[in-house]
Amino acid sequence: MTALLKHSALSGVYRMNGAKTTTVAGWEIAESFGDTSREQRQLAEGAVLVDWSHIGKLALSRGDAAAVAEQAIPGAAKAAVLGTTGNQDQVALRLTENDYQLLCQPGQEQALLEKMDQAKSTVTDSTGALACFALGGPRRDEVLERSTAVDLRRDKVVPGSVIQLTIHTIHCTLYRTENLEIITHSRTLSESLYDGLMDVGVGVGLMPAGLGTIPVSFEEEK
Amino acid sequence: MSFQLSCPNCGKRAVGEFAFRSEVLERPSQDDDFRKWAEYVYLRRNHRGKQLEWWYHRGGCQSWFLVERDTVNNTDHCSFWYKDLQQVLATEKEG
Amino acid sequence: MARRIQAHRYLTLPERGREISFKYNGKTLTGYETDTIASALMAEEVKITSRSFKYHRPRGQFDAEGHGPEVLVTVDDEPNLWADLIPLRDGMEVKSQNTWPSPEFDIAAVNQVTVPMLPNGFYYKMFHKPKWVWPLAEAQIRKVAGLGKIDIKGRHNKRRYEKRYRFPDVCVIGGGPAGLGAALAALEEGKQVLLIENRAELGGHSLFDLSPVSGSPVSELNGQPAYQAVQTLIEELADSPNLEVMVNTTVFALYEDNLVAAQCGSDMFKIRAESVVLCPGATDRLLVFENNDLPGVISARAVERSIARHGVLPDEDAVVVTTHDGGYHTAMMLHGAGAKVMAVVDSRTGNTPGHFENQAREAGIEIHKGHTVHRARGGRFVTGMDVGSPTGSDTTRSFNCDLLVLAVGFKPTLNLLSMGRKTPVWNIERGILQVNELPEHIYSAGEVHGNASFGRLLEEGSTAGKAAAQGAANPATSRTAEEIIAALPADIECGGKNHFICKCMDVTRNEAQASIGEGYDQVESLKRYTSMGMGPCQGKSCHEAIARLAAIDTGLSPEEAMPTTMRPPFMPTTFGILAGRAPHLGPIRRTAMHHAHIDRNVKFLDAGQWKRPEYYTTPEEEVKHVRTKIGMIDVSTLGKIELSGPDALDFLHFLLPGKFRKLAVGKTRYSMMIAEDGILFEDGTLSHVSEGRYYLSTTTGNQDAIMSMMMWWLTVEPRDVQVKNLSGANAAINVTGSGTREFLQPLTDVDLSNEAFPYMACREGSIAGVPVVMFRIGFTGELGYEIHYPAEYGESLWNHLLEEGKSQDVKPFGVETQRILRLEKGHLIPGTDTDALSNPYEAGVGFTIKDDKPDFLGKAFLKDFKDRGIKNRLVPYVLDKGVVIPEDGVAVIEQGKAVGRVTSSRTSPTLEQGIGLVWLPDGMAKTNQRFTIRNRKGVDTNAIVIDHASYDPHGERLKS
Repeated sequence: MTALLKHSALSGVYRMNGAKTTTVAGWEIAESFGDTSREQRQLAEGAVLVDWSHIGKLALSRGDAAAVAEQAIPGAAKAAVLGTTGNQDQVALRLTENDYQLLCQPGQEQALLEKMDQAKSTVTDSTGALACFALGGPRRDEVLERSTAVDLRRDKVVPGSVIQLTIHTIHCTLYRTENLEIITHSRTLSESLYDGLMDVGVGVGLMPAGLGTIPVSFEEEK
Repeated sequence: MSFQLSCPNCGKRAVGEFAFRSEVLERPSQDDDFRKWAEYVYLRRNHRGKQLEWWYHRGGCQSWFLVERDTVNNTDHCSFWYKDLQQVLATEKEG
Repeated sequence: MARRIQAHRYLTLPERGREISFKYNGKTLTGYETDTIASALMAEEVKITSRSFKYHRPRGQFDAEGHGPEVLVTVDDEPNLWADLIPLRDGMEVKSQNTWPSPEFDIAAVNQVTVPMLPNGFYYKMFHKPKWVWPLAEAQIRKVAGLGKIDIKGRHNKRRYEKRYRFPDVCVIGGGPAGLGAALAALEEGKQVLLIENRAELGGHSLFDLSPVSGSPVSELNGQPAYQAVQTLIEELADSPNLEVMVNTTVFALYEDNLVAAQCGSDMFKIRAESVVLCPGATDRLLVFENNDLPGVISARAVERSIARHGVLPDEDAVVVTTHDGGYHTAMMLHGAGAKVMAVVDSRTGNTPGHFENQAREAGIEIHKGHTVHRARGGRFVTGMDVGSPTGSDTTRSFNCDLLVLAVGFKPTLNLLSMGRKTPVWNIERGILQVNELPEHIYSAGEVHGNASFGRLLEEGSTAGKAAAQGAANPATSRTAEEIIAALPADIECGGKNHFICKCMDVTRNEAQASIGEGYDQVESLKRYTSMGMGPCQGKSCHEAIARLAAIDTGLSPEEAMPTTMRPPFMPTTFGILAGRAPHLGPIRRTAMHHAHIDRNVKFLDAGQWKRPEYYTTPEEEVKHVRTKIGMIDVSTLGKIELSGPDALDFLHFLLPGKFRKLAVGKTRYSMMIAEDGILFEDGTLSHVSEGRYYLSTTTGNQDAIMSMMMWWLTVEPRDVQVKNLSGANAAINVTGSGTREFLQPLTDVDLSNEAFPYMACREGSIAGVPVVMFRIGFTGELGYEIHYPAEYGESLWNHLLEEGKSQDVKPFGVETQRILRLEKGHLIPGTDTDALSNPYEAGVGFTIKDDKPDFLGKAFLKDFKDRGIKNRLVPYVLDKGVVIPEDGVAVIEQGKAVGRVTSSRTSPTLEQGIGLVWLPDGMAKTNQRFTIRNRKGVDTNAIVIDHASYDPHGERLKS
């Protein structure tokens, strides 16, 4: 155990914007960017971007990735390629026949790791290597429409789909739920992605927001 | 160039998402004449017509796959996994 | 004179809207919110809008398509905009271009006299000898022949350009009747449709077409005048959930795989459509005759649009020159607005009168059959005209008139159908250029295939739209004899020198003929020599005339007429549109400690996409600090790849030139990477961290390439090995300096004593509870530990170490400092000290190569290098004290020849003299050999080769 805190790649952005942070699973993460009620209004009417960089992220590659993913998240082996399976606390994203990205609540990645036979597939703890944004609000499509040349039409990429693409020329994994776009990407490019999204979000009124506005959940309650 | 290439995993994407490695080449064995190695490293057929090539989906799933592409145009091309190469070659022989 | 009309006999004029005031050349004028700049200027009786390019002849509006150079204006600091496409706005400041001091009185009009005295294409032939004359002459020629001025400080620089994306099933380009039909049909098939129109409103030319509709697939439209029928269609489309309509949007290119590029305001849309339906329509044909460029010569549709959409009558006394019933339609449009139609001059004889010809007769308008225009007369604008036989002989009549309306047919707008891939051919039957065959997934319909009735255009559009939605074959088109408009001769040859083919570049028939006479007898070279078709309209006005006249004048048959290649962009596009947000949004890679560096006033270095600390104070100060105290550098950008599994060692033996079976757990070794061509491209360290688990460090720049290369090998030759890319997962700090052990020991559970943790070893443990892997390697030449740990602790651990290190004066240092430190140790950096031709034996790293392995990357070429022997070597050197330090990359001179080069050169703060690495011929690469370096300014410096390193050559400090 350590007393040292884990930091999001957006820690500089927090400071520049006077974000209020909180500690979750040893991470310092934004609770709000100053005015939670304003952020929630923006979530209802426009678009917001929330830093979820502290969530657990595991990469499974090669070997029998499907079987090993199944050990951690039941149902993962049956997920279609570019499909997902899970619940609000954990989800398996099937990127290819043999590549998975598992997302879970902050601090839960260790528990998932222990369930997996790491000799049967290459398992990498990417919790620190990857950052994550949740993009929410009715106008989030307009932000994406200015950011990527990949067809993200709602009839092509349905909720429960995953797609690997470049957003602002930054390689990202997009997981779409009913109301959110969950974007994992390299932490080294996170501040750049934030700047890019905020820039094109100008016309849409995109705002940064904190966990108080969109708490971590990988699926909406049915 | 604005054509779209098909990734066997992700489907049709803009060609700029991909990286081209080379034509499919036969790697000589270490006993072979040095001339064969020099040709393998430096020379390319650059065939006018259908060519088998290695491509990498850098901006997407980051998989390696093969494309049989007609170098004369940017419309005739089909993509498949390396493990399916023998099957594809067999189908073409028949056709 | 032009005037606004309040009512029209045959149609209801649209509401004008609010009155607007704007400035034109400094004067305040008024217009209405439904005006374009051009229609407002017309209503304000501005007859001469510009002067021509070379001759500075007066020019006025000809058509209303955004083609004519005469309507190029500067609007609020932005030059070269088309006045006939831009809606009028309150407070606009509009200025004419290429006129001085004013369009009415232009001093350079003297060109009309002087330029014709110069030989054809004079700028190619004159003022080039002696050579120095040309730049002066060119500057003057440019001053006189110009377009708008760019205001570098203008307001348009603040504009925000964005790129936006769309992915419709069917993209319909053109909002006239054919396009509307296509959109409706595609919607009926359940497709998502994007309809793009470059004007502010849908409807195309039908908006001012009085013709009664017949034969339309939508039966309730039959019998209505077309201008009402099209409004019904437009209303039907409104609120379709699967339809997006973009107006004021110009498609400027169609690229492979149906990538449609369109501009709307300052946004560029990149549209990828499954199917594209092109309905770009046609524009009034240009007629070439004497003085065809005078203000007052105007196209039929410009007149009709002016009257019916803007309520502006261009002038009072008009003569309509025509070859089909459409000319009579234009005459009735004028007549209904209260103009005096002096005559309709119709080239046909013995035709069955059409609907509007009958109306014109009933209205008492004079009609002259079998005639066409021979010349326009007037100085600064049309005052009259002569007519005669269409072949050009026998001028039989003259008229006095203000307006000479050309209604001589339409030329299809072929650009998007052609776009460099399909050459248009002359369709003899229809008398037009046509693109017959289109690539798959591209469809077309409408006037672009020839003049047609409203009913047919709608039907053709529907058929094409349905085919596009279904992915069926592109349907063929047909035309009846009544629809086809015979083409007049390409030039009415009856004398005179002012038969303008290209009004943009001021090229006349005489000039074209003279150029052909000089040998430019292919249409492509003729175009380039005369510059016909290379002006602002890029041939949109004149491509047909150029094609036909070039064919005639080079002795080809009319069917062999071929226009020059049409390329994107269709309309001029600014660089801002193409750049979008790109200059502002280039991705930057930051380490986890980025903001800690900013807090310390770091100077960043751009290393590829990365921001790396270059130095915090000065490199000299930092070097001295590391040599005397303790320094810390953020090396998180390094690549880090972990390999494990049964075949891991096997894989490493294949990828790397070394042998690692004896690399014990806890040991680290310097390692190179060599490509199949035997050239070294990479160096790093390989560590055996725990049983069967190997950790390879790579340079910042190569990590992605190395990972994808490994994946390729595993695809082609599967192995039982796990490869983990930990480059982003781990941050890394190198702590170095003689006092490092004392500093770090209390902070970690790893035994740092020299016995327990010797040089070139690795240990796992923790610092402040954070799991770490530590490596003792030597890049800087001091005792040091490279600490790799999870990136989420990046900032925290960095700050923790600096905090704990305060009492020992631990300070951060940057990449430039590190470069000097490693140079003092004689360490090479691949890519800086080596290049794509450097073989590892010559570079001095042959010791990493163990070539008695059956197969590994580069083996064959390495053997060849070995056999060829060493010709050059990379060696360290020092300079005498106090001499000028040469730059990186300069040559070594021996007997007047360049025999080697300096790759890295710095001042060593530790030794207070210049040091570096140099490539020398083998014979000279011996310790204590003196040699001469010539710097960029040509100053020679003496240097001397040293044995291994200038600092601590036996590595005592390193291994302590």
